[in-house]
Amino acid sequence: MTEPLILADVRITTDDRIAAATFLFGNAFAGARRAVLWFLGALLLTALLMMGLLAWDAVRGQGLGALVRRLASGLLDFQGRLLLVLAAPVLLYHALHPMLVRQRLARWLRDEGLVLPEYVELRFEPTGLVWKTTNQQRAAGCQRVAGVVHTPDHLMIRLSGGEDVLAVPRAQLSPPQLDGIEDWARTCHTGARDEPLPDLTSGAEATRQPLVTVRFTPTEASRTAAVARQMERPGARQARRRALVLALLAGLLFAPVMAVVLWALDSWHVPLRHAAPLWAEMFVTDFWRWTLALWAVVGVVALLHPALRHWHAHRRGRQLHRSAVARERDIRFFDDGIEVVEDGWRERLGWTAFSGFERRGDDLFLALRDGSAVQWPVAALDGACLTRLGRLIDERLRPGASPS
Amino acid sequence: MKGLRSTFRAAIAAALLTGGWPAQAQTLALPQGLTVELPAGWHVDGSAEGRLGRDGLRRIHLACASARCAQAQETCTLLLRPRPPAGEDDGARLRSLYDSPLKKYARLRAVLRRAGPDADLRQPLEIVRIGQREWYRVETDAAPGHTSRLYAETVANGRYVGAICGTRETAALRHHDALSLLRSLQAVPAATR
Repeated sequence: MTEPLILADVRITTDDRIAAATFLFGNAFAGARRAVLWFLGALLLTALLMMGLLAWDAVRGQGLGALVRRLASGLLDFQGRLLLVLAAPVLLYHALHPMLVRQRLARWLRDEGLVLPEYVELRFEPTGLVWKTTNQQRAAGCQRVAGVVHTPDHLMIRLSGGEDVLAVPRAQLSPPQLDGIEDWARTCHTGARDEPLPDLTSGAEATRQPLVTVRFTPTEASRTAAVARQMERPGARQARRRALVLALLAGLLFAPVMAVVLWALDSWHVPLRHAAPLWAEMFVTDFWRWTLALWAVVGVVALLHPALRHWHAHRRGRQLHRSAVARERDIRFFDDGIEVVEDGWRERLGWTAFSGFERRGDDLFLALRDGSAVQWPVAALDGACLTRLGRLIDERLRPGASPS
Repeated sequence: MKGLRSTFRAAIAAALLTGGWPAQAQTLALPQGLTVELPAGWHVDGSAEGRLGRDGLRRIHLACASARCAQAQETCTLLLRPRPPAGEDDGARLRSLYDSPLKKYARLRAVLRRAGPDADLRQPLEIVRIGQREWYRVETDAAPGHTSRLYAETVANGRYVGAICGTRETAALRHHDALSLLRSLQAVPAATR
């Protein structure tokens, strides 16, 4: 084992995981935030157009001056206030978007059961990077290290291929360590690409024979299956349930809230003591129609949602497959765990890192406790091998099984 | 002595102002076989046939110009609709005018808007008995110097009659003449028309 250039022990918390996801999916989040402004633009344009049409109808044949005066007086009165009231919550949502994204990620992590901090040992070596937790060890060759990015609180080590990022909290690194990592990133980047991976284990262990080996190259279908599986994770299901409840609640409250808002904006509104009994009556006569109509829309979307998810998984799978480099992958099964080996990538996972084994379509998934999974196609194994492997996994994942 | 003289002067002035209008109550025949009793000192402003507006309503303007009305300045506009509202009988037709809270709200908003700034509702929109008939009535209370109005609508033997009566009176007792005018509404049964 070569001497590492830098050795660091860090504690990864929920905040660091959120920072990593924010960094990794920053573009998507920023796009979603921009879409809010586009939505607002479309909303205001539609509203202005409708106001223009109404004003045009009211001043029919009185010339352009009258139209402009009519529009201006409307905008200074009720219609202007209505626009402000429509725009305010959208602008507020835009302003709060980064915070809401962080909250959503925190909920996701909580639903996935990722609440405890994780202790990680990082080894920056001349030929790559190694990080170890109690039951997972990973090594990435320099060819897989896409660079180190500094953010105010973290060092983001970008890993290509897996399109992953490792968020290291800066506060836990000393200045010499920070400088050293900077140097390491430069040399590792320019270093020879064909150098061997840093070792994960002692020489004796590295040469032992696996019980079963699966060799395959990920296909578009398998990437699609992985995306589809992510969509059925507890966190995603929980988020969908929450969205459904929120949508139903919004459908229920839309009409009464709109009635009160329009009332509050109206210069000639009827005093509250006269208006309130009428609203109470409207619950029975009018509001329920809106509620039913909006609930029908929610229901249709909910019914179509599985098909939409299916379609989205296909699209995302195709995107991932196109952007990924085709690499052969080996999954080696041992008594004490498994090893995932690719060109420039080696991962050792103890059996305790896993929480379940499932089959989805043509793929088998060995689920990790952090929500991700080691996946391989059923077709990569013959029947006898598959039976042997199934027995091994069953034995190892059985509750109470000791990692030998 | 002085008070008596001023009253006398006011009476002369009123007599001059009202010109040839009779001082006694008088029956006024309206279109569609309807009649009302004009209270003393009231006259028709314009034609008794009224004028058909673009909204399909025929308006007949009535006003009081006697000395009694010098302060209140009562007026009434009667509105007639050529086509009767839908319904089994007069009661159902009347109720069909405001059969949804949205219609009621729109009505309240319209009358408040007409009453000007700082106006309030003096009586809510509800069905009340005025004379022999049921009326949908709402009353506004305008700021001093503005006209407070009594809005009343009824269906008399299948004919819609609306009344908008204004007054400048600010005391508790208002629309004295207007209410007697509404009480006096008679409708010849449709068959004998």
